Amino acid sequence: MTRTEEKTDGKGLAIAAESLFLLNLLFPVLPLIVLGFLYFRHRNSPRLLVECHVKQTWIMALLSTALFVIINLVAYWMGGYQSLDNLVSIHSLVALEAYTLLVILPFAVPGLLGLTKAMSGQCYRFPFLGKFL
Amino acid sequence: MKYKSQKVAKLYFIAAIGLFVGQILFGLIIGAQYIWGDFLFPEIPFNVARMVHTNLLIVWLLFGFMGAAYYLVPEEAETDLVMPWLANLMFWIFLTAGAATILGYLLVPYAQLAELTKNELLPTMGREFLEQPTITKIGIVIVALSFLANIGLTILKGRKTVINLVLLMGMTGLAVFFLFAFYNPVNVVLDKYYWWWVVHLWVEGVWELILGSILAFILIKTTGVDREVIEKWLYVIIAMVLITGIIGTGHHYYWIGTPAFWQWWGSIFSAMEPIPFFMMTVFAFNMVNKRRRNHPNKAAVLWALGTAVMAFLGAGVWGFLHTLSPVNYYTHGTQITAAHGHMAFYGAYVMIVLAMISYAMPMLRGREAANSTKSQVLEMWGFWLMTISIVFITLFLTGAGILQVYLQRFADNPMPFMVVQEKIQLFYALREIAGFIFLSGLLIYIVSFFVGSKEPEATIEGEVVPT
Repeated sequence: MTRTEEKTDGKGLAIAAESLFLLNLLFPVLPLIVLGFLYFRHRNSPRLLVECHVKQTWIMALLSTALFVIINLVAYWMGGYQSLDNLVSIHSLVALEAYTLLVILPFAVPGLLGLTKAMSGQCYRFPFLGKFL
Repeated sequence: MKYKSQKVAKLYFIAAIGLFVGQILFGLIIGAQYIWGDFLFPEIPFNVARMVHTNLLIVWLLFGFMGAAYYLVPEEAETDLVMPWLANLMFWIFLTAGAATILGYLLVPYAQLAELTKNELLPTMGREFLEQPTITKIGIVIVALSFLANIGLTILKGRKTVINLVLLMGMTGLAVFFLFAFYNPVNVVLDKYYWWWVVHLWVEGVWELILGSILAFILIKTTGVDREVIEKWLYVIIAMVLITGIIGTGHHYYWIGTPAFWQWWGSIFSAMEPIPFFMMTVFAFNMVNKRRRNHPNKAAVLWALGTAVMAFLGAGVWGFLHTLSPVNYYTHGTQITAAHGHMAFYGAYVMIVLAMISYAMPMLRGREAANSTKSQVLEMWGFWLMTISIVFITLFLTGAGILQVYLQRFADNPMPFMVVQEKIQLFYALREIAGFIFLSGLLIYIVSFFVGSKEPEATIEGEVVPT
């Protein structure tokens, strides 16, 4: 495959989107912004790979980030993050555990599969929610 | 099978599977003892059953690794093993020593076993996972050295590939780090410090090199992807394994009396330890997606992909769950550790050995490339039953661990250990049920070797056009 063909079928874009999605699981928010930029720039792209990977990762990343925010808000309401000295407390630790088990785990495996499909230039649908996107 | 001497692998694989059954049976006994404390007491006390469970795991995995190496090295080096007779001899020595040790654990009180085996001459017994009598440890060293000489000389004589060199590096590391089992200082901090050089630097260091090289070998054989592509992945993966895994040893040094800087070093480096597993998953799926042909041995491909995913989950995600020192302060030594241990060992090492057995056994039994479809279907049932039940075992233990941490270490009125054990009984019961399903999966896996052996081999459904 030549460089030009690669650009036209959107493989690079698909890989970037899946990578940003995975990165957003580890370091939420900043990769989401970049992913959002990619999505809004290419949302009307007719290319199947872009449609399949970019839109899906954008919505799933929004969902995972929302869960991240909710889990941390609950930790805040329960008494965590009250001061800088209190950053590492049982509340933040439970939030970290909950985020790892409830968000990273179910989102990372489909993300991984999506990334490998993108690298092979194939389409991929996330299980369950992917069918509705 | 291209080389006659590869046949020695068969013995090792059969022994590995036999010992695996023993390990699971003792796992079920311990699981029952968590529910009924006096189950099989005093015949098989908990500490003995646990020792047998963990020691059998180590021994059968070593059998599996050696069998894998005896199959893989001649094929990669494109020459027969230099000393197949030595491989056969060492097999019987290792099996006899292993069986005698396990019988010793079961039939003689541990202190008496230490006396009988003259532990006082070079005291090495009495430490978790390294309970073997000194004489057995010396036997392990002899077996390991003979094994290294055999595969090392074969590689020297034949073709040197990245795969067999990485495997040799891993196996050499395995032998070298085992030598720290003989260092048993009086100072408990020093003892633990170097004890981890065996335990951690095996499973989160050199064993990962063995895992990577076997996985790469299976993927080359089953996907037909260019060796160069797979070797480049392997280079990067092993680099990340060593970068993160060596200093990652620090996550065991948080609370044993070592300097506090280990809490930073251990946290940072071990938080990066999932990276090589992540890469391994991307690597395996990428190679299968880009395959140039469909291999008739679908079960072997399934095991290889399963290894990548389950190793990432068990060693990567569940390891990360409790590796940061502020988290580990609460979770240390609870059922969360057990959850991680079960899924990581199964995902990374049990599955890669079974993947290799699945790939090599048909050829070792005279097939061209694969078992019959009937046999493979049964084997894949075994795969799913074992894998799903280990996921549930892990989830139940994680639930037990979270409750344990809360009740025992965090609640306003923390409860004593044994009281908490009663409170988490439900999780133990569920874990035991999952354990029985695991055993049924293992038995189905074994039955698959005897079913459909007279039927024709599975065939390739069609050539795949590379994407």
